[in-house]
Amino acid sequence: MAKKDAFIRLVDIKKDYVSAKITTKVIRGVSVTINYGEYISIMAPSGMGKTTLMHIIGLLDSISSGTYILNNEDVSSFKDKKASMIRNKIFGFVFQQFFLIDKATVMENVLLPTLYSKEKRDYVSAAKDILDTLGLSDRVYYKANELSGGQKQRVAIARALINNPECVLADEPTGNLDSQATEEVLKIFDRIHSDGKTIIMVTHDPQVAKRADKIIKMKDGLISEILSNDKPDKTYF
Amino acid sequence: MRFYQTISLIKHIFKSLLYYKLYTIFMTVALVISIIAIASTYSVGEGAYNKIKNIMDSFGFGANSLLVVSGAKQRRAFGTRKLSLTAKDENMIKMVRNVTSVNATIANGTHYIKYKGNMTNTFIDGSQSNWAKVRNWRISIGRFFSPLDYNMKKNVIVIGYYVYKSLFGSRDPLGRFVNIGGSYFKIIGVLQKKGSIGAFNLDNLAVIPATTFMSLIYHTQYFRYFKVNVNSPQNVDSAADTIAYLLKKAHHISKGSADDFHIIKPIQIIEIASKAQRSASLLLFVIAAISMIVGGVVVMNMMLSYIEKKRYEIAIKKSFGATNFDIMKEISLSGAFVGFFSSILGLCLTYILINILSKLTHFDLYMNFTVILISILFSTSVSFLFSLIPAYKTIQIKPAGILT
Repeated sequence: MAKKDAFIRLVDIKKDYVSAKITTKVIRGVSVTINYGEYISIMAPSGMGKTTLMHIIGLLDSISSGTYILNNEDVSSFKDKKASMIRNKIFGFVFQQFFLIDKATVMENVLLPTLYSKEKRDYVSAAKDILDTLGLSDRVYYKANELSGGQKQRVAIARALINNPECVLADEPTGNLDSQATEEVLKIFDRIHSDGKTIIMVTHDPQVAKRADKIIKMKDGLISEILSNDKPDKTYF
Repeated sequence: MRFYQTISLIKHIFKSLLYYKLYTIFMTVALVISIIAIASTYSVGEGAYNKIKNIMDSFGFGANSLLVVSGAKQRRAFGTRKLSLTAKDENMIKMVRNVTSVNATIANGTHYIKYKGNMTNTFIDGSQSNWAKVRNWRISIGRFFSPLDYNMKKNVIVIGYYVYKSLFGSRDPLGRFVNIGGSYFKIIGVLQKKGSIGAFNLDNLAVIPATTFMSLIYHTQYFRYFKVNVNSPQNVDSAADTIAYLLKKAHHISKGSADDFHIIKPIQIIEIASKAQRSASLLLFVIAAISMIVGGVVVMNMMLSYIEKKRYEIAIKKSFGATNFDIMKEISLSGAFVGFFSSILGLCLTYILINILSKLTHFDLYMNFTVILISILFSTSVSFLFSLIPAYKTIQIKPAGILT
């Protein structure tokens, strides 16, 4: 796909949470288009709906109203099976808490998404290649709980990449890391982006957000501002 | 699903069960106890059945033989029946098609056999010279009495191994005379040792010619029973029908009148004797099945805790493309694997247990293919079924609510 083609198109997306007869409007009508190969930061203070928007984009959460077009297909009402297939093929998730299986090895964690893949590939070799690229070739058979925070996040990134997804969705990927590890992880995201993948990163940290091509600022469940980044601070490795 | 994925999934399930080993151990213990209960109760039933069969075989009462017994069939197992079988009947039965041999025996319980200062209370059979042959019982010392001994009503006796040891210890018994009810009998042979079945000592018996028995011990012209051998088990029923027909005719038994004899087939004895044992086994089996259900409930609760512990893992799997069905499949297969391996472990422990019990109680317990199959199927299916509810609960795990 060409870089200018629309990859994700959200039209007046709303998301309400109802609990004990109280309705909380988390997303109040978001419309945005994300093109193939873009590096997007969704930036907002805590509680403004940025993680919910990322979950909606990744089909981890349903929408209350609006239209979600992904790859020119309306996926707004996709149920478990179709949504799972898209999550497996198109998206790779990276979370602040890493969510690795602590007692499993690095290799087992990276191969986890392949259990649900329909494709026929040599995933073990692919996993070794990715881990090698991310500087973890000497940690392949370490248990996840034997790694540092930065290493854990790199394993989580490797896991997100194993199915060769079109888009990496990262929710505060540097939130639990020190400055050195943060820089390492951000460089990895830069490189993934330079490989042509779409990156959507949720963050509240302006320093992290400005690594992206475009910054979507959110406030009270709405997009307040979309900034194009001319990359004054971008540093590729 | 591709082969690689199937193998990967199975490996993943096993590793998950190992990672959460405390849950796995609790589930396994619950199921192993149930399996031991099921397998051992079944083994008791099988043991009872085999024990009865062994008793029958010990008496040479195999599947190709039948007993024609004096007196009408009674509900009670023991009691005095009118003697009705004669030597003429014996000769008639010998002529029946497929009958290979007939042995006529008279017996009326136990008698004291005395030798000098020693004495033992023993079952005595008055029989014919083919007694040992039709029972497949060998002679360890000396010989069995001959047709000549039988016809000449000789005071000769063949004693069982227990009688020999009780009266003579290690001394040679041959040629010595024992006293039975004031009559002296010359020992001409000792039967080979057969041992005991439970409390019943097979070697506590002696055999004398029926002719001698009838003139010295019990004055009668009738036999207690005929042991009839048939050329094959398939012909036992037809031979029994013919014998019944001929005896009714010979004994002038009119239609509607009670017979003065009855015929016992080996399978009838096995069925009657094992019925009580099997009823007890059935009751135990019900108890064991209940314990299996309890095991299943333990599995269900452990699985619910296991899932609670794995909420993040399940959520992350869903985020990477696992469908609700994939997760349900993993959980229920985990249950099935735990059930399967618990059954293997339970069967191994049962095997050890029944071997110990067999040695301690002298009661043979058997584990056959049926008990192994039942245990594996029961444990695997119960564990699988009771895992379905926890598996279904995983649908409620929404990644969006957890992965924040």
